[in-house]
Amino acid sequence: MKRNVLLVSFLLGVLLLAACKPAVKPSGNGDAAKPQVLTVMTHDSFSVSESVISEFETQNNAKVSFVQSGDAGQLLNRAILSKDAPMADVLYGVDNAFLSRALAEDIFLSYDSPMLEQIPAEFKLDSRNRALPVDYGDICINYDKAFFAEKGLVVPQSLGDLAKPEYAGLLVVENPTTSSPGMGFLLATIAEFGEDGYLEFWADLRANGVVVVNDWETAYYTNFSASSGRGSQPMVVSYGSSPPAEVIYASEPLDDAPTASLTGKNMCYRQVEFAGILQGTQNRALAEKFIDFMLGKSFQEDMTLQMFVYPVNPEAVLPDEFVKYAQQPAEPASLDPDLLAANREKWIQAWDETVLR
Amino acid sequence: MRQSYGDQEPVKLPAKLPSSLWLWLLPAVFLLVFFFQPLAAIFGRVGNQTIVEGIRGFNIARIGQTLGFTFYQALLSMLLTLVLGLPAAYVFARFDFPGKKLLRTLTTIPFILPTVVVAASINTLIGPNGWLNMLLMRLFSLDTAPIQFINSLGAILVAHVFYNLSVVIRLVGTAWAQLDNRLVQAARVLGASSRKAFLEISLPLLAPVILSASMLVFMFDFTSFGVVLLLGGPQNATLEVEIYSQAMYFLNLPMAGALSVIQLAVTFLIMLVYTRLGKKSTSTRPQADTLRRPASKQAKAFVAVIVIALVVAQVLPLVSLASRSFTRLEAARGERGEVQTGLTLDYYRQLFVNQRQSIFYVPPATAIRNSVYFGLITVLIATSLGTLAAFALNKPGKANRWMDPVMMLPMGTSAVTLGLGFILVFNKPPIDLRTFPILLPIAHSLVAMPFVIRTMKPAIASIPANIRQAAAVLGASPLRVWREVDLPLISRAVAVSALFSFTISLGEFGATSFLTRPEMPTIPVAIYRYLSQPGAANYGQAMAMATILMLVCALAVLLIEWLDSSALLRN
Amino acid sequence: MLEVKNITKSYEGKPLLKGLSFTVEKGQTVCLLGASGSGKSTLLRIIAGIETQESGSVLWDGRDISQVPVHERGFGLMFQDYALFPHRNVFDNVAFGLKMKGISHEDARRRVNEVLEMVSMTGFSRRKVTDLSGGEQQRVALARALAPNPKLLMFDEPLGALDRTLREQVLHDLRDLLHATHIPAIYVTHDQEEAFSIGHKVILTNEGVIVQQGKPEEVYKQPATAWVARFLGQDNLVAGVVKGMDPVIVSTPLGDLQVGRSCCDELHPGCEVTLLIPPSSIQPAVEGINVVPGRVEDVIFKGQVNQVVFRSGDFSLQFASTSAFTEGETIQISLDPRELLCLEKESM
Repeated sequence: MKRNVLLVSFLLGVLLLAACKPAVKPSGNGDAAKPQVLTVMTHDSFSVSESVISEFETQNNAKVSFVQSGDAGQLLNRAILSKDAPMADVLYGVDNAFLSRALAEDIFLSYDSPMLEQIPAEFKLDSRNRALPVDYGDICINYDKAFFAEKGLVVPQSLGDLAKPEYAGLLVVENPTTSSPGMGFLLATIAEFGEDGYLEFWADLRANGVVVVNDWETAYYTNFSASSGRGSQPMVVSYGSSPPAEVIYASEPLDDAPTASLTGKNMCYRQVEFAGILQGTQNRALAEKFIDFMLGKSFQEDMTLQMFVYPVNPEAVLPDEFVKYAQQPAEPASLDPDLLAANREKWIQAWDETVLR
Repeated sequence: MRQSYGDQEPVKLPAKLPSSLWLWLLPAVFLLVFFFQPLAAIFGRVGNQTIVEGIRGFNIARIGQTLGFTFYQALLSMLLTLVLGLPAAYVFARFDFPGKKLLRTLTTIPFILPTVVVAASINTLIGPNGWLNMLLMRLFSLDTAPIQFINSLGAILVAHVFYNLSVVIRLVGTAWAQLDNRLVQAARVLGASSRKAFLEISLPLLAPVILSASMLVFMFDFTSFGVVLLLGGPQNATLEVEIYSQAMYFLNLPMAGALSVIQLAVTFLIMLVYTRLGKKSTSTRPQADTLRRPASKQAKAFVAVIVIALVVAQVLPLVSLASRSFTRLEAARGERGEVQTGLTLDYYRQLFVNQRQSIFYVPPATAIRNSVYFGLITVLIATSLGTLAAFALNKPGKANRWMDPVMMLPMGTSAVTLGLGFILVFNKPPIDLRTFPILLPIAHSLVAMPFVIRTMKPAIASIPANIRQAAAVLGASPLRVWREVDLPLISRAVAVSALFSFTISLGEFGATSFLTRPEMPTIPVAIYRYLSQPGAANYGQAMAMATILMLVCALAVLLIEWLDSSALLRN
Repeated sequence: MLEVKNITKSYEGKPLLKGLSFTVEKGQTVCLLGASGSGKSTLLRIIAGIETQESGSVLWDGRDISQVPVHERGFGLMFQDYALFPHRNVFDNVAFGLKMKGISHEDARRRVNEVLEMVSMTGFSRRKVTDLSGGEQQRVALARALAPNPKLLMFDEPLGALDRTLREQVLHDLRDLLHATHIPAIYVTHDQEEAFSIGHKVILTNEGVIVQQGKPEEVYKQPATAWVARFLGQDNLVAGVVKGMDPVIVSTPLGDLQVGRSCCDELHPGCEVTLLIPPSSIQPAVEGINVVPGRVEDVIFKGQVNQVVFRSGDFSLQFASTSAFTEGETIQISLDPRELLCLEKESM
């Protein structure tokens, strides 16, 4: 009997809790015109300050709703699969590796934003302005400063150096079939050694004991020696912006970053992230305003510390940590977008055969 | 033996339809809409683009290799799980020892943890930077970690054993406890040594349940994704990992779809065998006096060895993860050198601070509340629909031969494919991913429902027909019989199902990560957000959040145990 | 042959067996008789080696076998509900013990057929045990226990699951079989009829101790205590005080009665006793010794005889009689002093 009472009260509790769904933030004001809702789909790494978004919302009497859709690959898939009935008005988070696919699937509307004037030409990879550059970052090898200092080892000066015996077993990279930084690094090696030479380089790397893992989390937190993980490899494929993140998110205040990036010629691959207005939007005007806003100073400045990326708008001021600890490669690797689009799959598969099998 | 009261004249239902059809209605519609529809949409798309085109240029040999490896690792994982699981099941079934309840609770937790947390647990214990390696490095002043275990088949096996051991312990242990132990005694009196008695009597009698537990474990290992991706390394890809990279990185949907069809077919076959085996029940009778303290020296040693093995395999990784959330581990001031360790509560404190002023910041209380909220809706959906289906499956009918394995399918379906299917199908009102509030718990329910059915089905079957008949003779209508007889008798199974659904929802992440709505982040989402950023504090906070998740899961499991044992006392 | 010495055992902290000792001689069938839950089965399991005693020893031919593991003792045990192996057919069940002994297939087949014939189950060897009736299962269980030629056979309530008519038949067969094979046997039951008809010796246990042991008729005729008398269905017990000796006179609610038999030696005037009045001592009579007046309260037809409920004052007695009585009739009965038995006062 007692048990039945318990069960009934448990089920009642379930019903009650289910009935009063937790409030999802106090939604807006009852006054004047109802705010227009703008839906923005992004990848999971997207982040922005509350104050910045509310700035846009009050200016335009809008409510911005974000839909996060996994990593960059999942995001793009989602956009492509739902292009007949788009889930959002704006998409942010397609990078140059996936750009060709996004453009081929024709998911974006062209928008010649007035803000584009301020943005350097090198980032504008779509001549029809369907995908507009928002930020960029460099996929670079981070190294454990203390390790190299202690061993008296000179850091590698070029990608080719990585195959030298003194760096045997010291590098961990991500699998390009399951990770975007892994993909970026592969593209950097193709830019450096060319379509004909990159596989040979990878074969040498393999012989030199390169460690390949599936994802950035494992590479950084498990294998890399300077992260809080304290792994075995003092070099990891990560981002040029990881060293400042190490300072900002240290558990004890640090004077100096424990890591730094290798920024020699073609050692970093520049990743540009784009935003675009999705075909079929019902809020085109507002969507355009949001794109302009993303390219504007306040969003661009906020973005750096939220996502650890560089603003494409040169007017945005970089935070101190970035200036101090992040290095920008003078000559990042880049590839012709059309060549990339045509060969992406082939390259990855050849890499897979060479390195993993 | 068992007769169905449903064969008697239904009072309110149209006489021509068997009542099982009505029971099937809701669960079947649910599965059609939320499972088969999205899958069909994906497979339909595969058809459009023609599979041949997708497969062209793709190395067929590699698919074969992947499929082979998937089978191989699943088989190996399953065998290893049995090697440790069977003795453990025996110890739990036959012996009483101090701390047994706690140990049973702890061994259940890994089963319901999200893969991210499982991978982290294993890493904190035996990863290159895990406690064990740090200890060895310090003891022998080594520069590099002596145990290089992650990114190997071994890591996959360890993780799979960690995950699925409780399946064997629970299923086989329960059957073993109910196995008439006089049979073994009879064999012993007839001259069989204890080893012989095990081989000749216990093993053959437990064979069906051991086999069905193995099938379940095999299926989990076969469709494994997260741990293989995170711990197995790039050389060791399972079918599900291949589907993921085909869909997400090669953007080759036809290929991903084709691979999911293979996986679905294998899952269906396994489930077909599994549900068939479930029908053969071993001869059991309630055992009152089977639990003994180990008396002889050998028995004591055996129990001790098994308990230690369980603690090492199941509890140590959890403890290791939790301890990491309290420990600071970094070189000071950017200097290398001695790793400075210290105890700290900082990571827990930081959880409560929105350091970046981010719009996506998740306060821990909110994450827990959201997780609990989704968990409770999952309980409602999965328990009610699963119970209906279990009632339907207990009615005589040929269709059940097929319905049973079909109901199990969501357990082994490619989560990536299903997720993509959701996107394809649920994009307009009334069910729109963006606005439909309970799509996430619905996805969780798909995963939880098979467990509910498996829990409820035997409970319903064990209601003696004569009690129902007695109630009917005393003037109760079928509906009344259900309310007065069936419902009270299955209440405990309902409670266990409810808690199972709850914990499954709590830990589920991989399958449904892109169904999450940013305004309602769950605990696994919060863990993942911290883990995707560099910085010691982020890592520490991820571990802290994972520890909180473990605690919530442990509470739920304790509740299951409590319901279980108090019901036993009542009998 | 078998000697059980001072066995003690407790269950969940409560003493269950408090030092039991008895012997089983060659060819003898010993019945352990006692209420359910009195630890008889546990004793059997200790002798079999399934459980271990806390103290005391089990000896076979003078050798302590307490340390010999169960499968090496060479005893046979037939379980309550039989514990047949459900995954094996009749033949394989019966052959199990032979197989464990390493007996060749051919010899085993011969022996199985032999014992199946003994229990009249020839032709059943390929049947599934789960398809057999209760009586058939019982026979298979017996055959299985017999097959390896055990040194000692033990039965744990072997007829408990059978219905009444079948029971008598099986009991009869079992008795013949045991007496024919000369295998020493221990037979545990709570049913006195079973115990009396099959045992050479009956051992009564109560609350972990042996209350009485002896030949069935001795035990029945001369119960050692009021508990034994009651357990054996002799309910005509009355409390009394010894009033005089030679002859012994006991003062009871039925009046002062002369008593011919006593189980306790130190009887003295003033000592409180319980008096057993066996039904056979009661005769309707008008005069003589021990005449008790009263009336017939009830008459129950029992076939050849009538069961008469006789009441005198607050006390009622039952006896069998061939004479016809009517309810309410006032009669007098006499109690034969040679059959009356003085027992120690029933503690309660």
